[in-house]
Amino acid sequence: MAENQSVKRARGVFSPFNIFIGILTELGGVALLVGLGLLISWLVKGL
Amino acid sequence: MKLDLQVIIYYTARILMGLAALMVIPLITALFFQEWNIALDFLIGIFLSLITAYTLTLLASPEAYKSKLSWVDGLVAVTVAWLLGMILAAVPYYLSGFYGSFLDATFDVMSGLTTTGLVLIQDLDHVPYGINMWRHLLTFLGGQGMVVLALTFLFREISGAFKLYVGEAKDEQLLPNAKNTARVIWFISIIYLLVGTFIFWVAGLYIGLSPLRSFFHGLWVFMAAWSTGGFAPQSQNVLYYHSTLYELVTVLFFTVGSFNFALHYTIWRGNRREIFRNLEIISFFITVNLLFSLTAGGLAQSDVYTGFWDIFRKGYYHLISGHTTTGFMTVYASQFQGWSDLALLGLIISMLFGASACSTAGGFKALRIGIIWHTLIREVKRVINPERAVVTEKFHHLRDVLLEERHMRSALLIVILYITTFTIATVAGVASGYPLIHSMFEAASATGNVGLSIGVVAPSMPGLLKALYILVMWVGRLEFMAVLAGVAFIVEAFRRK
Repeated sequence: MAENQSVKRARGVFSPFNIFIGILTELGGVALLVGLGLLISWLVKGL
Repeated sequence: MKLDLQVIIYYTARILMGLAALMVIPLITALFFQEWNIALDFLIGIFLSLITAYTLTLLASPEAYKSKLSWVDGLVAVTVAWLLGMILAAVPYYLSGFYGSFLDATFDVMSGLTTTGLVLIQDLDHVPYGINMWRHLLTFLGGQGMVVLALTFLFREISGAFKLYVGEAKDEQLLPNAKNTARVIWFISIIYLLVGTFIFWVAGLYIGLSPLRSFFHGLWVFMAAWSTGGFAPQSQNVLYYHSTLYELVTVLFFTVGSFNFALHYTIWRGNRREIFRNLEIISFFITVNLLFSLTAGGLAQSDVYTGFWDIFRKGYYHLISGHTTTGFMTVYASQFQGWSDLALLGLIISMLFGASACSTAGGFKALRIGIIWHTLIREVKRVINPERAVVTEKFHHLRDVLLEERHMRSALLIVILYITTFTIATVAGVASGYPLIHSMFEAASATGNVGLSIGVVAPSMPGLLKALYILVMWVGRLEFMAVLAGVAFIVEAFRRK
């Protein structure tokens, strides 16, 4: 039983909380990419 | 009739029944908006699809229902279902009167199903709701996979279903059983459909669309964004909205839509650090920024856009739209002709590179680019180490993976096939009288299932070039293997005779 719990913890759980935070993580990752694009635009035009 | 052929016919018939069932959605939409002629077009489409599916079912013996699918059967069934599906799905398009020919209608169906986004539809700004619903539904379905949908809802658990799934270039098995894997893909997409449509609806209200119009535009633009499709309900595409907010929301959703379904699944189960460690994401992150530096440099050289904000808003938008193989545009096709060759080259390479494997995106895929990079590292290590040294290379994709010959062979083979297809499409464009850079741009867009256009794709383009682009979009989407298996199956059948 204890082993099952630890396997479950390692593999993660498909729960509403994890899904919500997962969506925020993915959208946040994209926002980071967009921010870098803005920085490159500024550097290219500035140089 | 041979059992192999009967198995293929049986599964093709089931997939076509799914297509007929799906036409009910645009039919209801047309009835809701009192578009009676369009409703009739869909009724005819449903009738023809059902008749075809029923006739095919009659040709298959009951043994075919129980047979285990072989690899060739699975791949050929996908190939045949896509071809027949393209023809039947084009019927309502053609009957609507918005297409110059049946070839144009099939072009748009293939463009939708392959999530490309190139269009030959005419007078798009006055297209009825029912047709617009069908356009976006096809692209949404194409993103998740027509076969994935059929696996989820139409088949009982079948032996060897994974072969159908692989035929559509979705090779990550999220769960041990293919049917459950297909269900997870649809679960992720439906959750995002709800979240995305709501956010687009709010953004639409903010820019002044009426609530009903904002809802339908939100739903359709989300479907096209998530599927990296690039269709939009207006001829000006995303430019129509003239809104930085709306553009930003599209970037968020089409980029997330270009992620691997296995990555979504891993992150949604709480393993959030995977997004920073995954080879595909790292590879995508690096190539997007390197290629944008190229495009931004080209735009700064040519002085098409004066400030850094314009370079970002136009240059970055199209670069990431191309790299994720979405194809949303915020300029007119003819405006690309003012961009320098360097800026266009950045776009062309990004369209060919594409985004994640087992996603809605096309192109080489970031995973393969990452694997090729690791292969290069391994070969360099081999050269600088003593001859007898054992050189190994690892990469992280959902777990740590030891780089093996089969990874390298598969990645290089698919990339070579993409480059060959791109070259053929470019040569065909030049032979049809278009300038080289325009031909390269449109060839990259069709091969990578992108949808950005520099103006070559138009109702007036030569019929042969339309047919070739249909083929190119199709082989690019199925990643060659299913189509090659189909060709091999036919050749083998003739040889036996």
